[in-house]
Amino acid sequence: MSYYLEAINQEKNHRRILKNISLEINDNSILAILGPSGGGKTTLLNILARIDQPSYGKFYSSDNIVPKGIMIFQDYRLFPNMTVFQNIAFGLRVKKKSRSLINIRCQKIMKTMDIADLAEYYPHELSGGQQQRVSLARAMILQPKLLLMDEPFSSLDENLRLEMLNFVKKIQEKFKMTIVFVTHFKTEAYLLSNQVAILIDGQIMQKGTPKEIETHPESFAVAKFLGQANFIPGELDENCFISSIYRGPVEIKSDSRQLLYIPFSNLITVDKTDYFAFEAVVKEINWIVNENRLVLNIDQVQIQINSNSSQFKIGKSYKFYFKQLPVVF
Amino acid sequence: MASKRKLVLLLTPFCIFFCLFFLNAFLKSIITSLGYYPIVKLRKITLDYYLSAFSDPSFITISLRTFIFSMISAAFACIIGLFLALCLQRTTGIWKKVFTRFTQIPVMLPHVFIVLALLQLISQTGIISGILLKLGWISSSNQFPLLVNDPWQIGVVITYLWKEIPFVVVSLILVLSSMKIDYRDVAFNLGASKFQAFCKVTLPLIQTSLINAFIINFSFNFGSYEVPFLLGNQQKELLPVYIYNFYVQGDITKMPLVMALNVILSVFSIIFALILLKISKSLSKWNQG
Amino acid sequence: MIKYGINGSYFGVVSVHCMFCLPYAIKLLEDNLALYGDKYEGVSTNLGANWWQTFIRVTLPLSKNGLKGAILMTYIVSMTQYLATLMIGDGKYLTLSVRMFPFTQAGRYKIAAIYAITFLIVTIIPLYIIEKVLIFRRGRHLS
Repeated sequence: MSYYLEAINQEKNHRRILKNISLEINDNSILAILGPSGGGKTTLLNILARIDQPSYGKFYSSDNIVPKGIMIFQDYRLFPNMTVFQNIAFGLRVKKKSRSLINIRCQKIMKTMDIADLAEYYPHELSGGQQQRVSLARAMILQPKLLLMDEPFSSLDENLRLEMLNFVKKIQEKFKMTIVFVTHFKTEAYLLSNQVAILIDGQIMQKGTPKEIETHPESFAVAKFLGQANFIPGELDENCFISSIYRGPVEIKSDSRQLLYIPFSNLITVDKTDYFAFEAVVKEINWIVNENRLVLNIDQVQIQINSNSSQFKIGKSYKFYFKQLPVVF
Repeated sequence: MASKRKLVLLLTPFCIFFCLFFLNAFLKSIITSLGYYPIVKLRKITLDYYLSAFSDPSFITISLRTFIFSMISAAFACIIGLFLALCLQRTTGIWKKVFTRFTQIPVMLPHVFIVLALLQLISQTGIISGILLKLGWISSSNQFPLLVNDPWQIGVVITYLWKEIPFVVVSLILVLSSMKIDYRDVAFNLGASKFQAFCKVTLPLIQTSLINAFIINFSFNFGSYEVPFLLGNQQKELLPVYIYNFYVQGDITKMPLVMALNVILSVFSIIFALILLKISKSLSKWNQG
Repeated sequence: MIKYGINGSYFGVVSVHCMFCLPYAIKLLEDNLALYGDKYEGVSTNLGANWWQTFIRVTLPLSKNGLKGAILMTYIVSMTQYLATLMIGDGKYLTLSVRMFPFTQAGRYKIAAIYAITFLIVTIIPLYIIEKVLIFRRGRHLS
């Protein structure tokens, strides 16, 4: 079974927030919707949760049941007037399940989430991490086929974030559900998901595995959002790119901006290849965990690249090569 | 934060004012009601006046009637106000503005104004009756239902509702709009119906202000004089009118009794309000600390 | 009241009105202040303002909405006060609502109606002005 979004458009106050979004979401997978804030991520999620109706377009699933995602909100939105237990039980209670069933299920899920001690607490007495667990439990108790998470880990600190990431991964494997989550942290998206969709300015710019996205961004907008890259202006002459640091053959993605895309990683090397890039002087070497960030001077132009080689010395000049044909947007 | 001493200093003017007028008047009433009233040479402290008040069957019936009447009209105001506030909350744009403006008007006008309007409109010789008569729907003005000075106090209730519904709407709208998160969406997402979302989420969240509004409405209905005096039924008096009539009869020896009645009315209002507050507080454990 | 000789005095009437208005004003302003807590006052003090500057530049502007509500509400309460004005004023201080009452009671609706219209004007115009004056700056809504 899969979920389909078909030409979803959303307008609010005469502003188009989502533009023609079409997306297929596979069953039993984790899809990350990655993009800058204000790009319409939450709006899209609200449509999947059926909190909002799209202005145009359809959201349906292949098994003919009208799908509805259960949402975990960015600010958790635990009902302030209910205890943790009541919050978790809410979904079952409104379905008029029996008291004993609710009790059993709640106890079980609270144990899984490691929040059994908190049953009688009120939301304002909990820490951010605890609140998140409760909101996760509140959604999970309904055994949703489609779970939605809005910036689920953004307010957690580093350790807790990793812990929750693994936890979510584990429950996804256990319950075989589909998770769609939105985030503006690419590492978070890469760590948790099998598929990443880049949503910028209300449009899905690219969809693929984390590796595809990172190594082959399809447009300038995606490359710019991913960051960690230099953009060198220049001019195109047939298949040749002419700029202050490099003139030679390139692969052309779209010729509108005429920018040479040099990501920090995975393109520039000192090992000889078929594609000579430039000769540059090493200006600075900064240590960034397992790698060094080099600042290179080519004539007047400064670019940065990452390298895990320790052969570089400040002030010396080296020859650099492209691992493959560079891309121009 | 300001130190304790500074706080006391800052609050002094208010306290002096408060003691001078409010506490003073209240204590005087209590003392007088206990039978200490030197002007007419009454100096003996006694509970007789309270006893005679409570043994007076007409006082008891009138009190009970006033209590039920106040409860019902305050409850009506709260229910209708709640409904309107929720509707208003959901409308947007120009209508919201217009409607919000509209709800402010009744709050601004005095009761006398509304009494006047009601007398003109729905009394048996009023405009509506006149129109119906002209249209031939009723053959004489006596056929028009008695809506003012009627035994069911309908005129008084309408006046109170007219004033109090907007008050409830305004105070609830304030609370609703200060809740930045719409918890109803969460409830819907988790599978609740509209009714369930209302009962389990919206109502508990606004119950404090609703009960507050109810207390204010109730106390007003219970203790105010001019509207029942003008629109109420002479046979089925309400408590404030009853007490005021005592007061203006001018029998100065009756003064302690009047004060006793006054104290009973005030104390009852206060106790009732406190009970409601207590209930409200126990319902909102989540809101403390 | 009678003992202090303020019965029938201007001061007495004003004081009694004041007493009836105070709860409304206190409640509205308190709610408004509770909304922000004292964190912005803390910021102001931290940035070197003294208590008076803090009050004028931070507390007062933040209380704008509550202040507006309090002024409107107390004005209305005072305008519509009938019984207290009558009793403390000894019938000498005729506010509009005091004046209107006997006419309504006696069924002289025409005169009462004239007073009512006057009342409407006298209430609504100042309230409108208060509301306009107290809006220092309109919040912009970012979509």
